[in-house]
Amino acid sequence: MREQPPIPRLTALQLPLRDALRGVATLAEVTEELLEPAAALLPGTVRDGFRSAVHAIEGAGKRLMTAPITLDSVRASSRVLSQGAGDRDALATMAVVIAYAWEHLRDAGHEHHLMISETMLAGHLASGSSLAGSTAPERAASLVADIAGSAVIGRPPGMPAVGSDADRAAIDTGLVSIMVWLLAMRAETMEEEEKLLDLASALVTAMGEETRAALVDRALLAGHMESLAAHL
Amino acid sequence: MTLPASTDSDQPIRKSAQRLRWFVQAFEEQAEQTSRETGTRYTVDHGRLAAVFAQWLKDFQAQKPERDEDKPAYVGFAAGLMLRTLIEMKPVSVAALPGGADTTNPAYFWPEGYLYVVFCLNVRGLVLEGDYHGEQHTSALLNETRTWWSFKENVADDPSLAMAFLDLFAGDEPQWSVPHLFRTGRIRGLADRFYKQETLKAVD
Repeated sequence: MREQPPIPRLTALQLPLRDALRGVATLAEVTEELLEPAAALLPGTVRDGFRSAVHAIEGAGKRLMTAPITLDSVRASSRVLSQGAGDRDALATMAVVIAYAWEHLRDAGHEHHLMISETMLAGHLASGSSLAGSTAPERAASLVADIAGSAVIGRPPGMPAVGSDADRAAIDTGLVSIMVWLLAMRAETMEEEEKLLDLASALVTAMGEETRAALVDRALLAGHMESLAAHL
Repeated sequence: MTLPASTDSDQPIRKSAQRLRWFVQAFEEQAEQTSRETGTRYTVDHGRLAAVFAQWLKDFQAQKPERDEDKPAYVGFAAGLMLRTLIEMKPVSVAALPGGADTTNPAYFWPEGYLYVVFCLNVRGLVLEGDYHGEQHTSALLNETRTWWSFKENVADDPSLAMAFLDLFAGDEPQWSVPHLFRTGRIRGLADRFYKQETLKAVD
């Protein structure tokens, strides 16, 4: 019997491609929202076809853009904060984990269309300047300030602009939530880790006033995040 | 009540209870257990539950005593703070009562309040027992509808009175005056000479 040729397996997509898909998925999502009033004028079958096409693009983009993360990769990212700059692989893993967490929080109901660039984030982390400080909370605060002050998270080209204050607040809240999660005691399973990330976001949102006050000073922010992580 | 496993095996329960993950799990387990026992179905708003925890944590830390001898008394006070915050922020709503529920039974008279009280009493008792080798002997008033009428009406006017009612239900001496102010053993003795005991709003 002739041996069947091996079925090629899909390998994990490379960084820039995942960023491109993030842009496609985000644009598809916004396109549907923008064209919603016009869609009402279309005949039913055309409207349904349009919606299916947009959903297909959005869904495919979302499925492919997120590199799978594991307990080990979450723990490795947590160690980068506790031990300072890790090796190149650990920093690349951390970029994947932060991007995953950003997408997870956005899908969990955060009403914004801000996109994270894993490629730019990996570059920032590799430069070493993002992780200044001698303790894990100090490094986390340094990372929040560095990413928030960069173009790592923002609106992809072609997206309608909204108030920059709203974007800034969403970026700050998302980043602080992710850092609080990474600073906290680790969970036993990935399911628990995802729940923990949701709880970190809920806690940071509930402590919104204190978080805004802490964001003005890096030392204050480090102390605030350390306290939140201890109570997560 | 079965408590969730401690977040760290070396930690006392009172420390685990200061973590949001433990609080949410314990509350969910309490809601499930109360649903099984009463047939009432609850809906829990997790965003509000996190906000309850955050507010409780701020209030808890604001008056946390430094002296070791005050810490067991602070367990009851902290449980009262939790009950007050749950009543104020209302993270739970009733999805459905069982058919033919007797609304003179506290569990159906005020199902949300009943869940909050049972949760706070259970955590209070377990921390006292597990961390301080103490015991909690709940009062028979916990099952008395008349007391629950008074409880519900009084906390609607002043949610801090929930703290005094929790002491009452737990079989302790309630502090009806300024219940949201923690008094150390020394201050409590002095304060009792100055504050008059207020009577509860009568409900006929």
